[in-house]
Amino acid sequence: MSLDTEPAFNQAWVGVARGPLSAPVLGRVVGMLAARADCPIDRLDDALLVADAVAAKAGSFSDDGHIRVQVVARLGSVELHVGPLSDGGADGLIASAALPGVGNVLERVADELEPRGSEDEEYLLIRLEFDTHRPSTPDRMESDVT
Amino acid sequence: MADDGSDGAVPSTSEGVTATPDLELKLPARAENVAVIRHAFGGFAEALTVDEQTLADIKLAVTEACTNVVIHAYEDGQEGDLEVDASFDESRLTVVIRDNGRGIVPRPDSPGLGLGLPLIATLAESLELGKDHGDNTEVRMTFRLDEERDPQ
Repeated sequence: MSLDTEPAFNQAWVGVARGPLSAPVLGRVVGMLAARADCPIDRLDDALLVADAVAAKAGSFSDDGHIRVQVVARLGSVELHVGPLSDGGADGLIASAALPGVGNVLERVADELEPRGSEDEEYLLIRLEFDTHRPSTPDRMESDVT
Repeated sequence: MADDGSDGAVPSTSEGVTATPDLELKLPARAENVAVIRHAFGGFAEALTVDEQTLADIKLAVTEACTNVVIHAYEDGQEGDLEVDASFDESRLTVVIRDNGRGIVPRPDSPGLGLGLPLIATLAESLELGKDHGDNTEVRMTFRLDEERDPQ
């Protein structure tokens, strides 16, 4: 089954109007949905990095400065649908995630990074995939050793 | 990465509650998502530098209202959304919990003790129950952010 057809088992829509509020809120929502999707700790860290990058930059690429993100948790992946963004905003948001000496955070961390949408509304899809077979919860770790 | 053009401080509006909320959350109305909203609200209130007691009151009241939606708003097996909006100014935080379920009606078979709304009324400065323009059920609560508290 491809990831595109994997049903979402949880999702959240987050809208934040003021920049300083976005990182603490978006990071928590992404973190909790990813953790519940059995995201291993290394990819959870990556998901939080993406959330921080989106929180820091996305407001500059929306018409009203608001940050709107749909977070979708699927079996084996977490997606962030960022937008609606202004015209060219998806590419702008990707480009803004470049850090000196590190490279582009979104390009390095995401398995899929794709501007989407119609003429009227533009979105950026950021998908992080992960292996769900690794133990990530106390229950599962306990059951693995008994 | 913190480059949102601000100095990190959260500006407040002078006109009070804004037309567009400062924070909007929408999730499926499930028990697991009450914790997500509570956690997100913790981050929101932290960014406002709310004192610990007020933050605890806000989180408890929001949790109670969201739990009410999960338990009472929708018929068994019916999927529905749980929406939370929050807006603030210098002195007040207004939180609106919204659902499109059956409304606030008496339930003789209620699994709870019926303490949720009285508890919210105690914790919040004001509490209003009603419907929005789209006929969604709303619980609207206001909290004082500038209240002097006894250190006890």
